[in-house]
Amino acid sequence: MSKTQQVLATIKTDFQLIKAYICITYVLWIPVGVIINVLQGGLFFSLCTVCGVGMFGCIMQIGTSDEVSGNFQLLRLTYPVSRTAIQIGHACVVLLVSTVGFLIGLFSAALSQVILNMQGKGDVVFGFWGEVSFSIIMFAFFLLIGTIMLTCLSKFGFTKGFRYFPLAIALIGVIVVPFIFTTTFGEQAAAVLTGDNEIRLLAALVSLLFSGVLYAVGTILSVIFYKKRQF
Amino acid sequence: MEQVAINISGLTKHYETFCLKDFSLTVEPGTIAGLVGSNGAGKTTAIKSLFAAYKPDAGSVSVLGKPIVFGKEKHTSLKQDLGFVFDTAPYGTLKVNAIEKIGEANYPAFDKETFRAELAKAKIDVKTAVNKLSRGMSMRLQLAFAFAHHPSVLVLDEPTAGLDPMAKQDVLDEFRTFMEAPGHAILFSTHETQDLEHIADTVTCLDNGCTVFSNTLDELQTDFGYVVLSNDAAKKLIQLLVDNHVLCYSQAHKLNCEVLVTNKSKATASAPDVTFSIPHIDQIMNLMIRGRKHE
Repeated sequence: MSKTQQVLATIKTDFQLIKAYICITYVLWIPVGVIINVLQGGLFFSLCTVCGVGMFGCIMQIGTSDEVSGNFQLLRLTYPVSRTAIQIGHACVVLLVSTVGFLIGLFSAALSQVILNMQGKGDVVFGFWGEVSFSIIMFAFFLLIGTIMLTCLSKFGFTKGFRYFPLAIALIGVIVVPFIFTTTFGEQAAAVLTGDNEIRLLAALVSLLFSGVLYAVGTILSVIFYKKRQF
Repeated sequence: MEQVAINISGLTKHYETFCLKDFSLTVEPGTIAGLVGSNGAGKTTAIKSLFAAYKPDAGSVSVLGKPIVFGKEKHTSLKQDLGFVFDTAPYGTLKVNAIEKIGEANYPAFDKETFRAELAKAKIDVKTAVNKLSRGMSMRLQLAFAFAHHPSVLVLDEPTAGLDPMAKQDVLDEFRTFMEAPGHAILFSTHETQDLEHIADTVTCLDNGCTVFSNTLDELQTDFGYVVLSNDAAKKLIQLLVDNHVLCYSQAHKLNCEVLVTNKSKATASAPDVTFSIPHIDQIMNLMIRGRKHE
């Protein structure tokens, strides 16, 4: 099998592991998102949650299959698929699931907007595209968390990885929070987020691009860690 | 000339609480190699080296003449020729048809017809979740998966553990059928040694990471001899054997003593009035691991 075929094989394998969870999540969160949006009079809930829930759930499903509900990680190593392909496949699946989650969130938000309009409540706080910008920023944030989760899992496995994951988040918080409060970055970011819709959308896309680059770097690190991991 | 199916040479791996020491094993095409030993003896560690699960401290592993090296990915395609069966089916709550799709995705040679035929033989419905299958059925499922991608070498880690006699017979019959094809080979790890007496060509025994013996089944059955005597008679026999330079092992119990000799013809010549029987593998294992060595 070529390297691309091996990555595809992992994507298909992972899909079999997560499909029940993902189908339920996607189907369930459309009406749930619409109901909560309409009750709250905003779109933020459905725009952000499906993407995040889909991504974290997907990583948890792969992790539990690998270690908890069976020793699938050992079986994977017997397949004619390289360790590099396994990690790239995981990264592709997580990205795909969260992107589809984001699109489903968008659909749910649009549906909510139609209902809100019918109720005569009109535009929500930042307008439809304003809220979409916020949700893109959240998507970028989820990607960063996903990067840390996948890297921890590739290095330590599921059980051990989830012990180190909160520690990794806390360490990043220790670096990022002072950066926001001790520099002008925080003020600038706040100005952009409450400013024009066009600038907000641009900032959201830049943050997504930034997260995408980090996600790619995280995937390379995952490959390096996983190739050295002993079972 | 056919390549050696599996060649493990001087494999050493240290863990915190366990060490596999200088382990060597060769599985020729057309043969079934048995790997026996108690739980934690190192059988699974030896098997895991075949898919580069860890970095050995020393030694080398090759399959069908090609090296398996930890950290390198050149051996990836080689794994198409290997079929693995573990003691438990690690599929969790997945349904059987999902496993079929995993097989199709990962093995270009995966044959859905063979897979379904094997499932039908075992009366496994494709819509059943694996965790709902009996132990025998989940083992047959793993075998069906392994057979479906047509490997030339089967690697089985405790495939008969916990199976009822009929299910065990079915599984052993599957192995016999697999061996009918030329060039096929099986590495069969188990602590249920009776199974090997029916099908193995060679037997290697591990204990606490060390090789206790590695012989052909024929050698074990012709060269080794076993006898149970009263403690006094055993004492005399052992002395006689030691005087005649026959290596033997003994294990004394309250009322009698088991004696194992490693050269039956020499032992018979030394003690013509003692009739040595053909020992079972578990008797050889037990006496060589737990018995007292006399030389």
